[in-house]
Amino acid sequence: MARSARHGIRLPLRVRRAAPAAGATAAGPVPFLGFLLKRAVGAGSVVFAASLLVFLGIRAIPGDPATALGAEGADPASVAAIRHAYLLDRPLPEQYARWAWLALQGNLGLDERRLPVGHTIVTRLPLTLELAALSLLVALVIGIPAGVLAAVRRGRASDYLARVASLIGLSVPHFWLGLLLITWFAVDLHWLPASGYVSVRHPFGNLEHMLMPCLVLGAGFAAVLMRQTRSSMIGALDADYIRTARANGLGEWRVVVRHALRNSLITVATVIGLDLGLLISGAVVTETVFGIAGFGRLSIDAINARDYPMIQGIVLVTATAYVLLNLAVDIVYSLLDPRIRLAGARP
Amino acid sequence: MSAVVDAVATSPLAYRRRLLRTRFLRRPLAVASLVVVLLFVAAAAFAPYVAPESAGRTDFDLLLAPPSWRHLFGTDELGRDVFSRVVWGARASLQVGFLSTLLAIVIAVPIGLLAGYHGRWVDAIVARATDVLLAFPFVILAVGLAAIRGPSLTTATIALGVAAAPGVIRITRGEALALREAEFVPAAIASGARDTTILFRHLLPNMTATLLVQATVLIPRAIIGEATLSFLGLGVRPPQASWGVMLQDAQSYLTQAPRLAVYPGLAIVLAALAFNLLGDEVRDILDPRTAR
Repeated sequence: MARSARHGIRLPLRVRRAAPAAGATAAGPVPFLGFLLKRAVGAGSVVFAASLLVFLGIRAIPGDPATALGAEGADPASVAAIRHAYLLDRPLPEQYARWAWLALQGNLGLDERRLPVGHTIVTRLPLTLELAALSLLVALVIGIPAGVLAAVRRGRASDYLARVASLIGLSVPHFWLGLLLITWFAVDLHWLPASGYVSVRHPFGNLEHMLMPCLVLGAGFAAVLMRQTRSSMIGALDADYIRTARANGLGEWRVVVRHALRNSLITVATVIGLDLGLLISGAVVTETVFGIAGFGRLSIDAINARDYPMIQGIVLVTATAYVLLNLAVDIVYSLLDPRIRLAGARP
Repeated sequence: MSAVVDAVATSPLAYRRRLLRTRFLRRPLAVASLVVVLLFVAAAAFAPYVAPESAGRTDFDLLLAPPSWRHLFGTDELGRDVFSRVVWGARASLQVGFLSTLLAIVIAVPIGLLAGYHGRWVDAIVARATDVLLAFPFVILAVGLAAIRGPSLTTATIALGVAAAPGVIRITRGEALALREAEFVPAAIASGARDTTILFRHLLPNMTATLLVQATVLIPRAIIGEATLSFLGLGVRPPQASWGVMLQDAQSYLTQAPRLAVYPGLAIVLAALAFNLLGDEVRDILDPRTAR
């Protein structure tokens, strides 16, 4: 299909460049390092501010932590001893600095049962990461092709169908879909286990348990991705560089995938980054419905047990994870589009 | 068609309003979704008159009864009328939906306006602050807030409103950034308007359409968010009725009475769908580029 180009129709250089060159390496390693550094400093300052909020938030809880730690009605001397042991008699900045320094080393203190918070979170986190990663995979596999299809076939039946499906996907709460799937596939049909988790060491059992949770969490996110892909694809397909690519005689498939989709993916990647919070929130609920003892389940148990050190650790780890994942997204789309790392700004 | 031509002569704001009204009535989906939204609002507002029974009335002679004329949706594990509870639940859901959206807009709009209009260091600080807020997903924010304030409907509203604020800040900032270049801004400055006048009298009215669309996106999210938080025990506490609380109760009876999970869930889906559809339709009317 690229015949016209081979027949020697030479376009001015500027026009050919209009479609961002695939895998351009014009930006050498130096601007990329600078970009990385800038992003890393930004992420670091956000984590710092978030940790400050968490630290101050936990101090906004009514009641003296020293009396909570000591026995009810302890004498003033032992309360003072507890205050001293937990640095509660020091000024706030010093308390924060000590806490943050220990947190940096992975020491998040002890929970209500005197177990290390950091260790508990680390043992629960892989389950949630697996759930989130597989759900994201489900969402990408459904959402992006559906969005592309809807944009290419704009205004036709398949576009309409995809839009209706995505609206329903946006309107169905994860946990309700989970309850329905459990009723059908576990209670009525006995096809899949209703709840629980099997280690990845038994891949079949693991997937059997993860299938429903990932479909539930992935379906809602697929709807978000589909809508975003559709609208940025529509914008991209109207762009001048697409007309140029078509005029160059490129095949439709190549125009859609290599040119329009590649450019649309940048905004889609941004949305994935920003909506990771939805994925994290969704994971908490999904774990509760399917009885997966992951990070989300841990946070609900912590709130029910009023386990403040654990809550503090969970909120801090989530905020840090969110920022780091967004940093990763930033780096990924700077690889997708060299213009970003040259300009050093998001589109 | 002449109506549209006439409208061009008036102010852009009046023109858009007119456009909205005339085009809205021509779209069956837009009208239908508005009707459903209004039905839910009416059910929530007049719950005492719509619901046949109070939300908490138990009848221990009639536990887990199937649907009948007396109990349209049957009764639950405590013999409470499920239909009445769904109606009362609309109150909690819509209240959180509207109030948290209002909270998000009240927090976000002045900040976004200022960041977009002023630019420079204000913009840089606001950008960082929104990044920080975004780092707390709404469930985790609700967990933190519940630790401080205890779980309640108010806690859920605050968590959902604060979690929605960063998105609204970004959108308002973007709009303000674009509107700053409009010709009426130097005109206002020349006639001696102060910054606050420009922000709230000139920029804000020009972004009502965007904010309206944004609100119709946020309300269904908050409705689902309230159900989610109540389901997790972070929002409305039983025995108060809420769709999320009803689903939490239903979870223990999935084998005996799966229908207990069906009705409140359908109520959530229908309400969220109506708002989402309404938002899509209004957006398409105001910005036809996205539709076709």
